[in-house]
Amino acid sequence: MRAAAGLIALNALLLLLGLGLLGAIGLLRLHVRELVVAAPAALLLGVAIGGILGTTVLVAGGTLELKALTAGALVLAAVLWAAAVWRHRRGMAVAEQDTAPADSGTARLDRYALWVLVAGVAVFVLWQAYASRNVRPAWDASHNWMLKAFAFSSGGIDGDMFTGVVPFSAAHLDYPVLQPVLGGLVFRFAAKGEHGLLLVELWLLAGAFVLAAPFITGARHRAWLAMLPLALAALGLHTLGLLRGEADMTVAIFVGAGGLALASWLDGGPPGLAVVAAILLGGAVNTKNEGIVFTAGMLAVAAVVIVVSERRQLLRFAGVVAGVAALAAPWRLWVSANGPFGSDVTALSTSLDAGFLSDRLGRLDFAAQTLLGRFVSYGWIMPAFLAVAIVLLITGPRRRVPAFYLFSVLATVAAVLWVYWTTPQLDWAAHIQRTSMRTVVGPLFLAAAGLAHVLPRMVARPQPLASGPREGREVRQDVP
Amino acid sequence: MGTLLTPYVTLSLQVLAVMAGAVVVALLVPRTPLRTAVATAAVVLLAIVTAQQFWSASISLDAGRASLALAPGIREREMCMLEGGHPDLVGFARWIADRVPPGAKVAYVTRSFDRPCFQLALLPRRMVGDVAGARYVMYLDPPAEDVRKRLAAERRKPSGERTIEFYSSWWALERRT
Repeated sequence: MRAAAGLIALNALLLLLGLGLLGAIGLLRLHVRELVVAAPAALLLGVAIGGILGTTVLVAGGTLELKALTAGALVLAAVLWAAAVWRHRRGMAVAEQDTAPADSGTARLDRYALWVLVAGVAVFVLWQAYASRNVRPAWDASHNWMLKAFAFSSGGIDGDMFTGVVPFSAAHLDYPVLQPVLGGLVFRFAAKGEHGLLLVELWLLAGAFVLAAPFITGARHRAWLAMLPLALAALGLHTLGLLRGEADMTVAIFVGAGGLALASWLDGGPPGLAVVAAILLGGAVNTKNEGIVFTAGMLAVAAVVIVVSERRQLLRFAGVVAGVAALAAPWRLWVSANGPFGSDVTALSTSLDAGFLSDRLGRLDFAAQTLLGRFVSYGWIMPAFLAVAIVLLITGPRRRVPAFYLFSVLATVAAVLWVYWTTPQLDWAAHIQRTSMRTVVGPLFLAAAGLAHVLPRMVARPQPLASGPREGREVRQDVP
Repeated sequence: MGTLLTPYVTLSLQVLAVMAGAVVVALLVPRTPLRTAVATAAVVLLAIVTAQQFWSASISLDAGRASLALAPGIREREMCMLEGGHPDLVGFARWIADRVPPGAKVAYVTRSFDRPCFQLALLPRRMVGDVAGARYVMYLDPPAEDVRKRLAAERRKPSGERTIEFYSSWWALERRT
């Protein structure tokens, strides 16, 4: 009972932070209905903020002290909520333009579909969270994620666990620590260190990712279409990794949600979405090294899209990049100060060599076939995404959104392929087979995010993607 | 035929299948724009797959939970020692934990062994490499001959005079003042 109360208190605090931020940057009005709709996205933001702040505290030599962290989070939440109330009173909050169609049969069906999906996701997540409460950590988690989470629940970054480079190389000391920090916070709040408690939190995070899509994309009509691909990706296919306590699911959630926010902003969404994107992608880069690479690829694609089609947004986009870099800085500084650490990735000084690469073309082909095989067997997300993105690119005229998603997914796949192509692992085939079931999750969640973004508009109202400066956003408009 | 259906071909066929679904939609609902038709086909497909996947995910998650159950008498932070084929370390980890207070640092003099796994079992005690400055030193089959001689000499002392407590011949804990 104490553990459950602690878990609820932690999530209430994270929710308070996330909602305060969304209000402060003008993405929601302080109305109960809007707060409820925004809650899943707020939880994702709260976890990212809490994880990054916790990482910073640890890097600075501190520990996850319950009272100090709670007080700090409450002060931060109070500041954000004060800003939100100020905006609300001055009428600066983004207005919710309810352009709901007449109560037609189609609209009623959409509402039923939405509630069925929301209820299905809620029941599934809560049941899985409850059923997972006694699951023990698997091998990888025991050597890395859970090891560090338990360590942070009782101390800071000290001991050989973090600095004994050779004997503790299996713990991947250079890996970012957002998930262990989240675990440390969960254990602190619950006053109990059990792996199952972190799994409960990760299930809530997965559910929040699915339910956050309508808010982030601004799709209120046929909002269930925004949730459907994310439900398939996050709850239907890749949940065994979550059960094993691995961080791939967490990084994929931040990559997917961050990509969704970034693309929604590129699609003419309110400026606050750029802040949301920066924080969620900051969560990704602080969760796993893959998150750094995926985020870099996504930002590079976004830069090209902006330069080609929306140069007036360049300065704000530079702010997003700077924000992500700033959020990544604490852990990268710690790594550079305490490394070098062993790596299972070949350095570019070695791999950028024609002879080196041509000798390993067989690995590239094997890796490509393995990854595509995963895409083929993990539902129909990737084929559906590719078909939809290609059609949108061909039919135009506004191609920035499908181009962003398509080339971002390709960039993330290319990054994984590069690592496999140049891997120093002697048993590379087994390594690729074993790890590809985790590494495909990031690109798949991003593809699902792409579908979540475009499907409601394509099915419900095809015209917004095709015209106007704010095309693609159905309901969210700035109040002059 | 088996070699023809590589993942490259299969994924391409799946994309074409979605497009074919769009054609069917366009035939069923005349004057449907291509983008609406392909989106409708994708939604129908995803809805069917999602319903099926929720069910199969539940089954595989149940199986996953069963495979991640605890062994009788073993705590969750000790399981990796069993998985790594070292059940003998479980008793030693508990013996150390009984003698080293939580939060203390314990140095280790050992042969190669799974340190992250052992550290997980010992938390909140922290393993450190600095033997000279440590209050507690754990010996686990140490490789250096001088250390083994010292352990052997200590073992020969009457138990009241020892500064090293033995779990077994070469597994021990030294408490320094």
